[in-house]
Amino acid sequence: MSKDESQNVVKGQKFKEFIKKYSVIAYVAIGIPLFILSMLLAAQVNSMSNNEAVLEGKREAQLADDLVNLQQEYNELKKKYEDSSKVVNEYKNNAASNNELISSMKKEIEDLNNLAGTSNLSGEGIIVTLSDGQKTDSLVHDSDVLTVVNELKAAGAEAICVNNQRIISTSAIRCVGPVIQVNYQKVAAPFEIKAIGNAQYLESALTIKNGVADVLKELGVGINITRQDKVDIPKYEGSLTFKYGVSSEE
Amino acid sequence: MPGVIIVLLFILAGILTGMNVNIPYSSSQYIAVAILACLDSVFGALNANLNKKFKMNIFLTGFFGNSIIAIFLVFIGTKLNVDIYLAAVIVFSGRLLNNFTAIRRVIISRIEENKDNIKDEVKKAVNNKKKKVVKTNIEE
Repeated sequence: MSKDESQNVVKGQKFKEFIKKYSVIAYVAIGIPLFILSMLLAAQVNSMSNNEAVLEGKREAQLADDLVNLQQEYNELKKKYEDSSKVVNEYKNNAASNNELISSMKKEIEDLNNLAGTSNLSGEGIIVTLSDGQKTDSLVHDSDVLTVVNELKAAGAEAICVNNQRIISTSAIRCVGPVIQVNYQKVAAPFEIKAIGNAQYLESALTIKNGVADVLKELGVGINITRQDKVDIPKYEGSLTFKYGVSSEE
Repeated sequence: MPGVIIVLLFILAGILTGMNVNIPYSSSQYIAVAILACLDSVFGALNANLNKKFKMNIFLTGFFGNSIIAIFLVFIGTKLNVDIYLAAVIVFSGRLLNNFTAIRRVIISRIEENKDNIKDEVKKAVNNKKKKVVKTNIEE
């Protein structure tokens, strides 16, 4: 036992001598800060080269973080939505094959979807293209687009979209700096307004003397109207949930 | 030599861990200023070591203290909406360059000294040989 102990003591002393001789503790003390420094450097370089949205400024940095988070959330929600709409479709199909009552309800749902703008539509209609004129003051304004859309609605258009943004009951068309916002999505000139309805009625509603087309032409805005046998109008992409309004029976 | 190996191991380990760490973009500014402060301390330590004035406690307190103060400056700057971090960046990079200049001067002067020493030794050796030759001639 005593031999072993003495050997251990000798080993310990040797180790201590080794540490003293090469001043290991000092180098470790230098090494730890260097470890932190190199780690920070590598991490910074790594994450900066990964980050696509290298913007400048603090606010933008925050916005970039928010954007990434929101995008992730959006993707997750979209996935959920797709999953649940699949389930709904399955139910629909099953029900339709089983029951006539439900098939009539399905028809009603379809109609309501068309009305609400949550389904793609195609049919006879016209395409109106509004483009900026040559003069500086003859740009297409939000009010011009709004007038055309209003006129089309008055002429019995069943579905309208502006640059593939479906116009629904809550849609707004307004000016946001150099572009126009439709359904909170930015759209820019030239504006392609598609409408489904009786093509002749729709066209004549615009081209009537002293009508919208004449006024816009006078302002210098380029307006081009074409009738089409088949116009495709996409569905509304946003969400359609009411937060404040509750249906009341009276 | 073991000391150099230990330090290199620490650096390597740091790089490897850093590769797997992702810094969120909003805090990248803090990290960048902290890195500058740390680099400044390391260069300062190198400079002091070459001049034989290196002190461990000064290095350690400088390393951590400088980076913490730099981060604090950035934090205050974001709160006041003033880019105070620019002051930290300018000061630290200026000191970094100064330290680098000092290191360069010391190293270059040492190399020149070495060269002079070698030349002197060569001259001495040649002179000795000549003397020997002269001596042998006289003896003959």
